[in-house]
Order: sequence, then C-alpha cells, then structure tokens
Amino acid sequence: MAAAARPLVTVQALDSDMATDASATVPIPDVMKSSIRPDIVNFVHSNISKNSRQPYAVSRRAGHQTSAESWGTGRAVSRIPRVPGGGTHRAGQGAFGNMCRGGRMFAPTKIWRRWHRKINVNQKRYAVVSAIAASAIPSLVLARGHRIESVPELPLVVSDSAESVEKTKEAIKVLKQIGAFPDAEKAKDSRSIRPGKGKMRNRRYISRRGPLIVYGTEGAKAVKAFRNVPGVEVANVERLNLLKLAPGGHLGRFVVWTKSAFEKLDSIYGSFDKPSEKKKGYLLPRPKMVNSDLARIINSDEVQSVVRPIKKDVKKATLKKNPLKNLNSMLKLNPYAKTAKRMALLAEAQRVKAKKEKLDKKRKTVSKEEASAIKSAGKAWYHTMVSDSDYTEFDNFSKWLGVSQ
Amino acid sequence: MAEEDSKPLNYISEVILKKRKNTEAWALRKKEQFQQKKYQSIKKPEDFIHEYRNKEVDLIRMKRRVKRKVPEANSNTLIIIRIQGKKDRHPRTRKVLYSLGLRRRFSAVFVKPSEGIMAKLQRVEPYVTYGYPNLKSIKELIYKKGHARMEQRKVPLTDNNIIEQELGKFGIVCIEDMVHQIYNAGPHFKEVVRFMWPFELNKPAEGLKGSKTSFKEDGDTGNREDLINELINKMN
Repeated sequence: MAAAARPLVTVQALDSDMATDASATVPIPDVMKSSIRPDIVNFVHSNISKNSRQPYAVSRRAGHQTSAESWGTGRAVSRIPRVPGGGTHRAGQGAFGNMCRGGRMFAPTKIWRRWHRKINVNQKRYAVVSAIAASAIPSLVLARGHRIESVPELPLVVSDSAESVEKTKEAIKVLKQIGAFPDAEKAKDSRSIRPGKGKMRNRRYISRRGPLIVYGTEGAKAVKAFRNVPGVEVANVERLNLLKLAPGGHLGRFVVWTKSAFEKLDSIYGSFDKPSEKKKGYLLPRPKMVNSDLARIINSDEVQSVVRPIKKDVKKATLKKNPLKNLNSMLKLNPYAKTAKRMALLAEAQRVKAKKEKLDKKRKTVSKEEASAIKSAGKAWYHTMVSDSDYTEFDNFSKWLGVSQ
Repeated sequence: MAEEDSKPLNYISEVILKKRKNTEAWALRKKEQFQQKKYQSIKKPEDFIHEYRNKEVDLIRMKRRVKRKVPEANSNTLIIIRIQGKKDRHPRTRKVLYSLGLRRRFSAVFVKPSEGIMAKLQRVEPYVTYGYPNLKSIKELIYKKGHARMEQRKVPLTDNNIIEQELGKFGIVCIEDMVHQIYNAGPHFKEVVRFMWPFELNKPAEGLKGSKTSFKEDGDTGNREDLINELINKMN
C-alpha cells in the first residue's frame, strides 16, 4: 500500500466535525522531504520582491524653471548662472547647479531604470519547495520566532470544515482550538511605528507575521474569515507565494494546512521520481548525498560485513642486538659462552689469589736470630769487598798505574 | 546507565616522543642540505674531463700493475676491506670489485687466498686493503655484523636456526661452526662465505689517510698482514 510507505500526519478535528473513533491521517507528501537551500530562498526572495516596484524619479523640470544666465567675469562673483530681474531676494541668486538652493540634483534620476528582475522558473520552484520543506521542521519554525509550543503536531493539518468558516469570530475559535492563536496574538502585540522615512511614505506601521492558512478549495469562505485577523495570511495551495512562505527570505513559516490542501501537494509538486501533474516535467530536486552521515554509513552492518577484518598480526623485522655486549643475544648464538665466561672469571680469581699469597709470603717478618745472622753476613761481605780492593796481588795494575814499588 | 570502568589515561612513551623529535630535526636538516645542494647540482665541463682522465689513468696503471709478480699471502684466510673508489675508477676496476662482493665503501669479505683471488687483488690494489685476520677479529665480526643472504634479502644472524636451515646439509648448525670454517679455511669455506652478506663496517675515526699508496710505503692500501686486526677493531 502506498500510504504505508510514508510517515503519516494526523488531521486535527474541530468542534463542528462529527465524532469518529479513529482520527483521520494523511501521508506526508514528498515535497516536505526536499533539500532545504537557504541560499536559493534568499536569492529568489530578494529578486521576486523587486518585481512589485513602481518607477519613480525626480521631475524632469525640477531646478530648471528659470531663465538664469551667468553674469560672466569682472563682477567679483562666481560664474554660476544667476536669476535675472530685481526687487526680490531671488534676483541674483545662483540657479541650475546642484550646489545651489533651488537647483537641480546631480545626475537627476530617470524612470527608465532596471526595476524588475527575471528569475528562472526552476529557481523559483526550488525556493518554494525548500520553504515548504522547512515549514515542516519544528526547530526551524521555532527559530524563526513563531509561537508553536501548544501546537499538537507539525506540519499542522486541520480538517476541511475549517474552509467553510464564515465568521471571523469562528475563525479565531478555530485558531485557538489548534493552538495557533498565540502566534497570531504575538503578531498583534508587535504592531509599532516604523523607524525611518517609511512613516511618511504610507508605510507607517510594522508588525510580526503569524500563521499562514493554506486552503485547497477555490472560493472557500475561510479566506474572508481569516484574512482580517492580525498576523494571519491566507493562500491557495496552487498559488503558494514565496514572500508568504519565507517572509524576508527566512525559512520556517508556521503554516496551517487544510486536509484538501495537504492532499494536493503531491499532485502539484510530484515526487522524486514521478513528475508533477500541474508543472510540466517538474521533479523535486534531489541532493547529491541522500544521507551525508558518512561515519554512520561506514560503521553500518552492511558495510562492515563486507570489509576485510583488521590485520592484527603485524610482522616486524627482528631487532639485532650486539652479541658482544648483550649476554642474552650471545647465549642464543653460543650457549658455551656462559661456561667460557665462568671459567675466565674463576681463572682470574685464582690468579689474584695466587699473587696475594706470594706477596704475603714475602712480607712476613723474620726472627731476631735470623736478622742478626743476615746482618753479620752483610757485614762480612762488606769487609771482603773492602779488602779485595788493595790491589797488592795484582802486578798488572802496578805496571798499569805507573807506580813503582 | 552502567558505570564506566576506570581506565588508565592514554599516553605516549617518552622513547617515542624523543624519536619523533629526532626524526623531525633530521628532516629539517635534510631539507636544508637539499636546498643548499641545489646550487651544486650543475656539473662543469672541467669536472667531466677530470673524471674521465682519472678513469683512463686508472686503467693504464692497472695494466702496468698486472705485469708485476702476483703477491703472495701467508695465511689460510684473508679479509678484504674496500676503502676507496667512488668516481675515479674505471668500469673494469668496478667489475673486479663487484666480483669480490665489495659493492660499497667500507664493506668487507673473507676469501681464501688462491692464485685467482690474488690476481684480482692486484688489479684493485689502490681501492682495497687486506690482511690476515685472527680468531678474535673473525669471531667479533661475524657475531656483531653477520647477516645472512636469503633470497637476496639481508637477514641478521639473531638465531642459530637461520644457519641450520641453510647450511645444515654441510654439518654447519651454529655460528661457531661458521667461525671455525672461516678461521681454518675448512672444506665448506665457500658455502659459508656465500651464505653471508658482505660486512658493512663503520668508518674509522682515525686510521685511514685517504691515500692510495701501499701500506708498506706508509699509505692505506694493499697487504697489512697482521696489522689488519687493528683496523678491524676500529671499524667494527
């Protein structure tokens, strides 16, 4: 079923409706899911609002309705054209120039200016579609400043009995029932004097905008009932105006739809794949990415089930340690190194020990008898040395020395 | 909601931060050097002429050297270290150096001093130095700088399993067996030398003058005999 594929909106019942067990619902049209382009809305709004301008300019004759001529040189005054005649202060005054009192303006404005703007049809449609989509988002409507706290649902759809309301008193009652009256009241309370020159140009008062009532039946009596409520505007669903959907170029107008108007949106604007029935060949604009939440897409089950799992066993090159300094590396290559090292240490200890014993033996003290024996031996040896140097037994020395006996 | 488990804060270890800092400093320095080097990339015609003349002279000297008697070696094993030769050697010289496995400066290989090897050494004498290594030098070189050649890849000798896989069929199962084969020039000397990648030694802080004269004539090149061990100790 086509209705089950799209979310549904409840149609708000009014007092004059017959009581039913189940409240009526309508599917949300595709136009309310279009992409929202504030830049296009702003641009189109600026250009559309220029098309209701009327030409204006200063008078062609302003500043020229005199026969002034310059006095020339020699009179100690500037050469500006001067009013002829005498008898009044006007005589002799400067004229024509833009710096003169009563003169003409510089470069007088003309009525043949470029007052209006041509806007592409597709751009206008894009803007209207964006504005409709924005009106279905509560945060945008709140951001625009509308009072929708007591509104039951957005987009707000009321039954078609609202279109047959004839009295403004009944219209206000309808607004109160659906919670739209606080917004209208805000608009009424905001009426104030306009700052600036607009006061004296037939634009004396300013006020806020309230709800926009969109009806679907031609010639509905609700138009006259609602239009005089302050802040409330009325529009036919087939002729939605961007200046009402996005006043000032700002998205998020609070819109109240009637049921018949809401149901016509599908045939007026079509959908993303079916062309509109009223606008020839028109399809709703589609964004480049339907879902721009890339992180969510990547982490979804559909993607993660296809992706190769994480490589956790990373192969790293074995780091080469220096076996000459790192004993563990040496033992891996040469297990005998431990034994050799131990033997070397033991041999070193043995060598140290042997040397110590040898030195201790030499440093031992001798007894007194041995000391005296050593001393007498030394003395005897000394005497022997002394006696041997007499040279009496060596004849060779005598001859050699040249001494005669 | 369930209470979150307390987890330690994420941190980056100091070693990584220090390494990152060094890497950035190195990159900056490299960039500066590259910018400075840009102006020196133009090669003048005089440089070309000089280079080609040096190569020609190198060839002529090699031809003269070949006519002399082939030098002899008094050891089971020789170690050859390439110490020079980048731009001023003839392609024929380069070919001989490559056949000995000396593709880079300060690379070293062990060889058995056969007549063919000595003839090659005579040809490339101005670019290499060689001598008689002792057991300490051979052992330290293989333990510290030893790399295996496996499918043209350089694999460090960190485990005896690497050696056993490749040389187990010759009865060589550990690094000590390799040392033994090289020191004694054993029957599988050739297989062991082919299994090993040429050693890549460090530039010695002192000990080389940059001269092409023979070591016996107070230069750098040629046969150093047992004094090669001092040089190896400096370059290891």
